[in-house]
Amino acid sequence: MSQNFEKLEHFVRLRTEQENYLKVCDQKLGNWQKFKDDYLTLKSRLETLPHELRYEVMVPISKVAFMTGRLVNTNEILVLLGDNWFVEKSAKQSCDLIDRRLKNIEKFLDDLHKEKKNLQEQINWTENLLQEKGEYVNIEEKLEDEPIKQKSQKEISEEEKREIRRKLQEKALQTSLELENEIKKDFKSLYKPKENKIEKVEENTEEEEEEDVVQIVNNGPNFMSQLEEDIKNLDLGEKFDEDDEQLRNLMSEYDKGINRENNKQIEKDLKKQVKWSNVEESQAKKVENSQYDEDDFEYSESDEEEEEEEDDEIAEEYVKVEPIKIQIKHTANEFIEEQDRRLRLSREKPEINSPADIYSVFNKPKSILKKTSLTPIESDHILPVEHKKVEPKNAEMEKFEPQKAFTGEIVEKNVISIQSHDMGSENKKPVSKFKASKFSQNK
Amino acid sequence: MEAIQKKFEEELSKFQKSQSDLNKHISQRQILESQLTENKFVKEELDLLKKEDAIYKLVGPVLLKQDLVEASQTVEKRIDYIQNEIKRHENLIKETESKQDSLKESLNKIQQQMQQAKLKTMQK
Repeated sequence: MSQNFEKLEHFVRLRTEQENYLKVCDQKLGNWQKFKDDYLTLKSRLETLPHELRYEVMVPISKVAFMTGRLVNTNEILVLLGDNWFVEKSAKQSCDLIDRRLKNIEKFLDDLHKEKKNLQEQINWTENLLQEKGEYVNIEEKLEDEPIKQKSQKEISEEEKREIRRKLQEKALQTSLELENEIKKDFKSLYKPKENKIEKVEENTEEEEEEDVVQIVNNGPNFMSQLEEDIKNLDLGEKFDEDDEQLRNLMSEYDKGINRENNKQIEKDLKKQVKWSNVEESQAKKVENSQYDEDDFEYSESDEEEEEEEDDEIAEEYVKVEPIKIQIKHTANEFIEEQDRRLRLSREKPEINSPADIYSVFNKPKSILKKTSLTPIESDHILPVEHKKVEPKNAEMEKFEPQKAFTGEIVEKNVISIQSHDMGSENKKPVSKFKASKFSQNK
Repeated sequence: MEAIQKKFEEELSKFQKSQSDLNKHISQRQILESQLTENKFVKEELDLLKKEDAIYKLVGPVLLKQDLVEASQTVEKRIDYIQNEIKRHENLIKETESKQDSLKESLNKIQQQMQQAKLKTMQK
């Protein structure tokens, strides 16, 4: 109420000022009205003056003294035009002059009347305000409205965001389809009938929300095909081949599930099938952590460069249309991520009962094209002794996309390369002696 | 503290001076405006006059007879002169206003300084 009271005071003052203005206006009006009246009487006098040649009058010679006299030359009148200019005119001409002056006066009077009206209206308005102020209390509501408006705006923005996401995803799908069609023509021989699923996976990988997608796209559709070949070359048994479809289904579904809207459902579905959820979640976290870790461990620049190099290499490989030899370059960043993930998994004690479990253990990526593959160190850390047999068979595979899970085989060589790589360039996170010893044992 | 006060007083005097100047200029301008309207009215009347009529100019206590053509010319010249004077005064008014604003700012600054000095002395 104190605020109201202050404002009341302001308005009271405003009211008084307005009343003053009104008084001034009235004064002006009075003046002009007086002039007008004077001119009218003068005019009437002038009209009657020339009726006679002479008049006998009492002439004033001071404030209180008069004397008799005659008024002659009744028709000759000196008129003051203004600024010390006089003109001699007849009575009739001066009457015309008076008429012109009266016109001006009436103009002024009209203006003053309008002004007075405006002032009066303003006064009425302030009076009403003062009355309301005294009766009602309004001000508080306004503050409440503002946050609501903000909230509504936020809500609207979220909805808009969702719509924008959908539109972008649609566009991405379209563009990815176009790209894939072009690439398909070149690599049809390499592809197997399961290409469709790969495409779907690839389509789903292209989503704006995740930066890694951009890099994955370069790896392109060939990645999955090569992945399949590698998987088959592993000679892990029929089980794994059977799981290819499952793999692809899961991966495609998971890629689709990258949409946060669908994520929950897809995760549920995946959970029904395999223990993908943990891996997927960890992968998702890994993807999220990748960016975070980059900042923490200051590998960002070098890692990105490596990734880009890998992408370029892989793209080049794909263009050549040759049997796939994927070189995996594990960046230290990935090391860290996978180490973390391995630790988590190790705590959970994952049991590898089937080839599918291998993949689950080795950190299924969100999308096939993403770099969430296990580093050799991590893979060794998690892999039981059984898988060591598998490793030498794939020793040929030197180059592999870091994202892919077949690190078991690649692990050995990559360990060496990685170790050398670490030794050479990035000494920021040296391989732990424990892991190094493990690698040496595995060799 | 005392130095700040002195500064404040100086600035205040300057500000008041500028304000008085401003008022002078404004009043002068108003006078000129009224003269302008008057002369315009005179010109209208002179235009209406024929050559026969006698025109007198009041110079002191004396009425001097004037020619119509000469009179109209003098009135026109006077009108132009008054218009120029009005423009000049307008410019002066603007300048004094801007000066006033700058002085206001300086005054505010000095006031703030004074308040800070007061706070310091209070804390002590």
